[in-house]
Amino acid sequence: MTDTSLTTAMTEMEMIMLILGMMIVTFGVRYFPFALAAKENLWGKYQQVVEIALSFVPVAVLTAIIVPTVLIRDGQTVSVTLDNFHLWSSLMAFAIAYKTGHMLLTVVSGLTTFGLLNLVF
Amino acid sequence: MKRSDLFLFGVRDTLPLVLAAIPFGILFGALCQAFGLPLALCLAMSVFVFAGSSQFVAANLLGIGTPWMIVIGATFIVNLRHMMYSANLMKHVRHYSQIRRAMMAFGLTDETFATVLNRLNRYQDDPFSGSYYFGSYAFMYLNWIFCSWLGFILGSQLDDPLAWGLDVAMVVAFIGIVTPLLVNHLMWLSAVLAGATAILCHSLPFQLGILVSAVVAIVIPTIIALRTNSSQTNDPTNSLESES
Repeated sequence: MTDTSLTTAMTEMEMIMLILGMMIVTFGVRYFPFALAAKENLWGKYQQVVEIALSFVPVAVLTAIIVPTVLIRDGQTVSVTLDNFHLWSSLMAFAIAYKTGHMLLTVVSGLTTFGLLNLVF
Repeated sequence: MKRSDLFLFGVRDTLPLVLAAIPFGILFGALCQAFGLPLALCLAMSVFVFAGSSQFVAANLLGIGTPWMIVIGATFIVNLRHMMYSANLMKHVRHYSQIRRAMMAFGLTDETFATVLNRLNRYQDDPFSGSYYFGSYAFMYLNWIFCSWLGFILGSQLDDPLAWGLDVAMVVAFIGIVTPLLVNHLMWLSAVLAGATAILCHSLPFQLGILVSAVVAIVIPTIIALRTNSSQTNDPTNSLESES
């Protein structure tokens, strides 16, 4: 372990607690509905509300991760500029995903755009 | 169809997302190295947690000296979406034992969910296959652990791994997952709300911006869907379920 790091403040015990905690919350979230999979109406009278709300979760969370990652490159300001290669690669990937719905084409077009932009500029 | 064939189809269909996970895994490993985290901690996350975007968030938080309990909280927030994936697939796993369900749940990443759901949607008459699921999951898992390790080793060669912009791989994979889900106005509304709120709340500490944006982007479309539901005869939840 290097002594220059910011995390040396963490003891070995704290690291174990961290991994355990991350594992428990992640596995718990993934396993909970599977564990109760035999039940028809898992959420009782709130079944319909929960089902509708859950249907928005992936779009809501993934978009909330994507948009700041793409638009805020310096950690502070929104940059819609020509040299924001993340933005142009993302727009290319989105256009391909929207037109084709093809995962491989989406990933390859996004990464290729990024690679080419970096190569050329 | 034979089980081994289904397993291999699972591997094959996950390839595009594995491709995107390679640079992302390398970035995660390199970040851990750059922030001075021990290799054991880096690998333990990939082996025991196995959730890319939350590991990425965790590495960034640890890098600025965030207390471990807050990192666990952020992990929970970032991974909460997996409950929806699990809830979505639960009707297919009813006949499996709890141990098998637990094993499946451990590997329920964005990538495996997207791959499995895609197959279920494409071949409506084909039943859910555990072998296919495990094929997708095993490929993602082994690749993820290997790339985290590789990134950590390569990390010592790079000064600033973030400057390489490898996080573009995560973004592109997530775009590939989100875009096909934008099947109606409410999904679009949810995406727009999430993006706008995430920008506005960006300066909040401990990734709380993701939580706030997610709540806004879930609650508002849900309220609108319920209102439309009670005022009209046609049921928007049906269209949400059948199309998504």
